[in-house]
Amino acid sequence: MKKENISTGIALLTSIVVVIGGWFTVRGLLNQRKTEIFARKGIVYELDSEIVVPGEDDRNHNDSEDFEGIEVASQDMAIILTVWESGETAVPHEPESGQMTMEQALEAGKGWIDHMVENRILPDYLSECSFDKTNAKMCTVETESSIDKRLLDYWVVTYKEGDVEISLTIHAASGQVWRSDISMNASQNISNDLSDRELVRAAFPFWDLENEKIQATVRRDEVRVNESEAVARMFFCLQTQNEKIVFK
Amino acid sequence: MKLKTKIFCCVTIFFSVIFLVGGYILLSYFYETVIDREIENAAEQYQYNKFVMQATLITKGKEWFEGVANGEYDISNVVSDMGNTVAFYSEKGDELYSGFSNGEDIKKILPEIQQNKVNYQFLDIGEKKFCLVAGTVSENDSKIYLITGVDVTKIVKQQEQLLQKFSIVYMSAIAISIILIFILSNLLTRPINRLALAAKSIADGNYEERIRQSSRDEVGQLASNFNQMAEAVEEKIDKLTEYASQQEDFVANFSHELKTPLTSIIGYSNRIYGKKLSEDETKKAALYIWNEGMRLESLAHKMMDLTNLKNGDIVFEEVMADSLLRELVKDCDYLLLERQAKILLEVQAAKVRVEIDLFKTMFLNLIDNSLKAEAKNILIKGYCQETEKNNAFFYIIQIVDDGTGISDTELDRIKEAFYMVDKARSRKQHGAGLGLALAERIAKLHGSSLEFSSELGQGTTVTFKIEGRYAV
Repeated sequence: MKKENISTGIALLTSIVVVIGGWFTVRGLLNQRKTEIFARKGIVYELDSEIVVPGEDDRNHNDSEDFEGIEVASQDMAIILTVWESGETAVPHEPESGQMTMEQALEAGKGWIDHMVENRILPDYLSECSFDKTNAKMCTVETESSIDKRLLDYWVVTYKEGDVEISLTIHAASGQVWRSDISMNASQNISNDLSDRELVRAAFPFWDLENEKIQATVRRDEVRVNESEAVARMFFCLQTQNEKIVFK
Repeated sequence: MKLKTKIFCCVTIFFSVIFLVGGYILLSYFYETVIDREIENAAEQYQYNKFVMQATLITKGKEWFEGVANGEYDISNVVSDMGNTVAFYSEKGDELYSGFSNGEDIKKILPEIQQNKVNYQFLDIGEKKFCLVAGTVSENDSKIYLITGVDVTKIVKQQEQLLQKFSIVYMSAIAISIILIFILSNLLTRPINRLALAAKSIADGNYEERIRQSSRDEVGQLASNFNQMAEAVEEKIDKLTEYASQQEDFVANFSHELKTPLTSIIGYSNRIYGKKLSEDETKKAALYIWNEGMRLESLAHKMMDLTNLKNGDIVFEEVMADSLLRELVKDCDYLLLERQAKILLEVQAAKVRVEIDLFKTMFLNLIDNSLKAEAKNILIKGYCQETEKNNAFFYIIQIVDDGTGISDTELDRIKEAFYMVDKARSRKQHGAGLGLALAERIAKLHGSSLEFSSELGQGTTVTFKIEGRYAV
């Protein structure tokens, strides 16, 4: 009887030790794990070379060798646009081989603005302008796709000059502007006389109007808040949606 | 240790271990995932800030960059476009700009930053913990360090809160489990305890003890089997008790049956030896001695037959039942003549499997019994009976006499050894009360049993059946 009581006591004590001791052990292990995780250090990524700003010589050299983008087939273009429209998070990253550098992207953007000035869509002074603020970032959409992942990358280039703000989405492999968002003081907007078709032709000169897979849209708004000056906004976009484009 | 204690302890330990291991794996995974996400987030922020820096450099040119690297130009206007907390350091380690509360802490990590590589690490700065992503921005010979930090203090606090919540959940779950396991172990062991108590009760001699079968599971099955076993034990014990009682009676009867003739033999021989008797008296004493001797001889023969039946090998033969019965009746002619009785045979032809000598002994014993009961007319019937069940075939033999008959109370005991219905009459006829016991034993060896039906003053009918088949 006494022996039985002792063994029962030992068994119950073991259970308590496992329940309580186990908890403290797990707590200790988790704290240790936390310490290990926070003590972790490493390399996020490695660059082939650190190219930021080409020297004067390089600039001259680059001028002679403009970015020659690849021509994207309309089928691939539709896939890329579908991925962009999927709403997946865009992740910034460094350009890879075959993709335009930041300077080339900025150059391409500037070229597009000049082209729009020539087509009397943007005010003349923007072609000579060095802009107050310029920014560019390269993004990719992390998703499963049937095409080369590098074809999904794009540059978002932003130019600011006074009331004018131009944001361009440039396809990194082709160097073509596929989206643009322009906002400016309504008084500066000189494109009111142009039809949507003319605007689209100017914004996407590479785009075939008869293409059934991809559509081009343009949206023009004017916003006025209280007594402030009206702001004109133009949004050009290539898209795969099956919306009929309505021309003026 | 009791079974319920074992179940309780084992399940508690098992549950606790499973919960703890599961909790550890889940929380570790959560820690890893959250931290990986924060590193990714910091890396994205770093990349964005680097783009801002690069775009500014492209716009403002090489001179501006060199000026920034030398600390001549203010970089804070560029920082306004950047996200999160950033810091810039010159190649020599001088602070160009720092959004962190303590720039000195960050200086420590500068030597670890390698060219063309973007590094990450966690650092406590002030009261906050940051995930720092650091790399270099270079232009020809000039280089500056760009460090972007994402505040992960909230994550650390979240982890602590999660651990606290896990402790509460664990303790609550264990407390509830302990109660449930306690109830469960009690429920599981209750029928086993009942079984143990019943077994003890049976061991103490209470053979009528049974368990109520409350479930149909294994324990219920065990209870059912236990009850079956208890029933079998009770039955066996009853049989053994009865057998022991029979043995006792047998020994007592046997002693008595030996003692009675021996007393007479000793008495009469002493009389012949001790006194001078007349010729008639001597003859009478000798007759008594002869009679009692005959009884003893008969007793010895019957006892020997009974013993032989227990030990001997029996060989069955297939014979014609009608012929056998006719032959046996012929053997009884002398007896019938002596008792002035007659036998009538009504037998059907069939083949039966019998041990001839034993069958003969049984038959003669039964006829002798009828004659001892003063029967004058004996009818022997023999007929076939086929049962539908298993298509078995039996040959039924009935011996119907018109003797004195046997009372119902005695009918149950007539097959016991040494039991005599009319002791005086039986002894007079050299009977020892073993004839029917022997006949019953023989009937059993033939897979049958003697069935008696009788009415006082009307006669007795004995029926038994033996295996057989139709005669072709």
